[in-house]
Amino acid sequence: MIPVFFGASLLVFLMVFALPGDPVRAIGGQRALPEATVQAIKARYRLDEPLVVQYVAYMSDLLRGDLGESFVSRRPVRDMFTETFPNTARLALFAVTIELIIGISAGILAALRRRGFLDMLVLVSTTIAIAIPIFVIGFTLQLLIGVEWGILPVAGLGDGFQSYILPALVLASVSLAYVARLTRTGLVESMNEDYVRTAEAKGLPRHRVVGQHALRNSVLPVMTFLVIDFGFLLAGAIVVEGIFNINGVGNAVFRAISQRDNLVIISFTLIAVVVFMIVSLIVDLAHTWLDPRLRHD
Amino acid sequence: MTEPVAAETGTQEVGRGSLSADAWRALRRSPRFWLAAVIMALAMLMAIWPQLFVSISPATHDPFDCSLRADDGSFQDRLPPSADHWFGTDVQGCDYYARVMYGARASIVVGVGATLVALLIGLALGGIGGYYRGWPDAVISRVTDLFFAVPYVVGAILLLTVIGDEGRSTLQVLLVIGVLSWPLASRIVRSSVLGVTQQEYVEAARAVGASDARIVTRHVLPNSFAPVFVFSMISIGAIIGVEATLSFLGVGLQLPAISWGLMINTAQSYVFDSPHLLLFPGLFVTLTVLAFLLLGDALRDAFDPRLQR
Amino acid sequence: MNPVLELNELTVELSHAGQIVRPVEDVSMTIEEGKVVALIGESGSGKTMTALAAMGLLPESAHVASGAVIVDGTDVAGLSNKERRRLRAGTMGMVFQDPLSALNPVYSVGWQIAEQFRVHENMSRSEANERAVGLLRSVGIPDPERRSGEYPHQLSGGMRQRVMIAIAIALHPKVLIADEPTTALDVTVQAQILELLDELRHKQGMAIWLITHDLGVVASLADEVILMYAGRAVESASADRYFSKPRHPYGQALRASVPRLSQEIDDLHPVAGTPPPVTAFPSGCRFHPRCPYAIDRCRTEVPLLRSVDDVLVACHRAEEIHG
Repeated sequence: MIPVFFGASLLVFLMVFALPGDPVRAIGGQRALPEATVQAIKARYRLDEPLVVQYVAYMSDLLRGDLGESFVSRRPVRDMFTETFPNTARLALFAVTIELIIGISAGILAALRRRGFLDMLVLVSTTIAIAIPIFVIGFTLQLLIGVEWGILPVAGLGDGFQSYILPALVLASVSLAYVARLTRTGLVESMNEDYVRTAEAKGLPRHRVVGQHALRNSVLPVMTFLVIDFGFLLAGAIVVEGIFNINGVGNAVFRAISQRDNLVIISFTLIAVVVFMIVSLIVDLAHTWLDPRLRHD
Repeated sequence: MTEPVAAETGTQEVGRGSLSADAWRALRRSPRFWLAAVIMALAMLMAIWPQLFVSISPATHDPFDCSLRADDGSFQDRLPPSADHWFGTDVQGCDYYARVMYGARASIVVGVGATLVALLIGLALGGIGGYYRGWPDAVISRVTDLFFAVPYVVGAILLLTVIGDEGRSTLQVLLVIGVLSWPLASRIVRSSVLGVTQQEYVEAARAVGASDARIVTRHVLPNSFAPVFVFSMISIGAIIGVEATLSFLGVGLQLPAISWGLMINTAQSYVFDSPHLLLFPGLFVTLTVLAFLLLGDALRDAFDPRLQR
Repeated sequence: MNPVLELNELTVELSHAGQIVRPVEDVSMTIEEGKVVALIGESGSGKTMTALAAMGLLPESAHVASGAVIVDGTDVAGLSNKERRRLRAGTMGMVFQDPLSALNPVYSVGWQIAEQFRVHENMSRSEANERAVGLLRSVGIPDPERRSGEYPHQLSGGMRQRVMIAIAIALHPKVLIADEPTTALDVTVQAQILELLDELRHKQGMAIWLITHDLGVVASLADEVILMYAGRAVESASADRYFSKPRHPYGQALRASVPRLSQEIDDLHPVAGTPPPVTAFPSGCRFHPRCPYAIDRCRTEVPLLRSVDDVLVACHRAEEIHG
């Protein structure tokens, strides 16, 4: 875990400082900066010194939690993060809850009514959901549900809990489709396994055979997916928060892109790597808890 | 980015193309395959030869021939679809239909190009790792893990902003996406090659003294081909979606390039008043991605020995 | 002696790649309390299907086409899956071939045994767990308290099979169906499992329906033997009778094919030919293409089980053939 963190941050470091081109421009955001600022950047990141020194400076800053100051807003990046993170966390949690509950339920229904109408419906709708880019889904739902039908709020966080509904739904949409499909395939496969036959031989009622025996095994592939899913959510958050104007981490990145506030982008990428690793760890633990075979290697 | 693709190499007998023959037969019968193939062919045609599609439209054939005011002085921007402009006009008065048709090129070029880049690197590294195993595999796997630790789109945004925007070229975008996609390609190739080399007929070939080159061409390549092919299709579809998203965010292609994602970016503020600005590029990008995903799905089912008979 | 399980001319139909086939045809057998009946035959002979039909566990594509399955006096063949499920507990238990795949990998073995007590007898969790531990002990698993919390992948093959047996006998069924109980195990472990089954029969008066292709297993345990070939029962005899003098040509060929230590290598006599696939059963007597005694009648007329000496044989020429 630790070596992966250092390796990944090295990768990010190389992307910023070691690519052909002027790192000052890379950090400063491609804009013409006053000479004093250029000197300040060079000094801070030790750009006139060998790469190794640069890396050490960069890592020690990172580990101290010092992510620098945005050239656009003049605020410490760390503060920008701590302010916006809670909103994004709420949105993400909401999205994950939606995707798991609806996704797994849809997958179960589809698997049980295999080849029936419901199954076809789930298969078709999930395929389409995966194909539509998330910003298209975002605008479309915003247009239909928010504007035309006026059911839910479309922007900002002014309406409390309600404001999160539509964005969370959009954010969850693609992942929901994957979860539904994985659950369906997993359940269909589980039902064909020998231990299901044993469960039936024991005279257990059907709901128990499916719910206790087959289902537990079929959610295992979903666990593996959740780590990749987190990657989707990170990207999705940028788009969704941008479209729905939610003051979260994603929106900060969204605005940073248009304002060419590269330092924010770089810093948030690093934070994303850290969070990604924490999430991987948590999912791994959950997976091990669910699948005893992983515990006794 | 893509659905986890399992490498299905099982015990496939490699008679001269027996697996491909079976697969083709299964594909021919699949309605999904034909639907996907038709859309894909249309998209490719649109990319290679947009003039063909544009020529049948009554409006101007040049996607860059835009004017805010018509001859009679009226404003021409953001007009809804009509007989003169099938898809309406955009924010600057350009014929939207022509722009949508021309937008196919960027998507297909980036989709196919980036996939090729990812495959090239992935085939080399994944192949070496899967075939030779031992320390080359260990090293390559570690590096792959590092890349996996950086979230895909976030990494793309980072790289693209750092590269800068003195006119980001299609090639730059293509390379960035391709380079970020190689880890997945490598993993697929590696597991596919591993699956094959662990079969006994490869050990038998080695025991008889067959050279590595021979084993690779005769046994490994034909049997690992299927999962890699399936992956490529799905990858193209996914990358088209990724390019659209990146362009929408403003880190992908830039004006004056024509990209569906970019069109929606430009139209952002006007989406509620002029939904056609969202609808047409959105529809086209969705259909194109769908085609490739469906094709990948159909191929995967066709190659699955368990579903045969 | 009351029969605990009876099959009367049971026929199972199955839909396979568009065709209707009959992997089990006109099979009859009777299992009495405390007896061990062995159903023997090669893979593909239909023995497992017969057992699944008796248990009501046929896969979706298959169903009982005709005949009766009489459990404790009632014909259950026509009942719905739901009704059969309720009846199964306490009357019939089944042990499957591969204990690793037949046990659920995500639950402890104790849990999987105790489950039946919680569901069928409404026991509390702690009571059910205690019973499970006791059951593990009775099937010969050492240190049962610790083992009961372990998972299937942590146990050896032999122990897993014991767990399966424990699960099957937990509710004291009248008959235990054991489908190839020793096939996946080492030879030394095989002997232990057979001993266990023998113990069950003697101590608890449990009837055992043994399904196997291994004649050695049968010889040590069975009271009666039924030989199946290509979906039909071709010989039914007491174990003594069967082993001393099989009357059906197939049974004779099987016995002759078992190598003896005193034999020379080039003196081996495998049974000629291969068993027919269920989609292409031969007409008439299904064994006729491989039978050294086949006559014209064998090709056209299906021989039925009939009494010859004190065995039942399905062969037109049973009286004339000597082993």
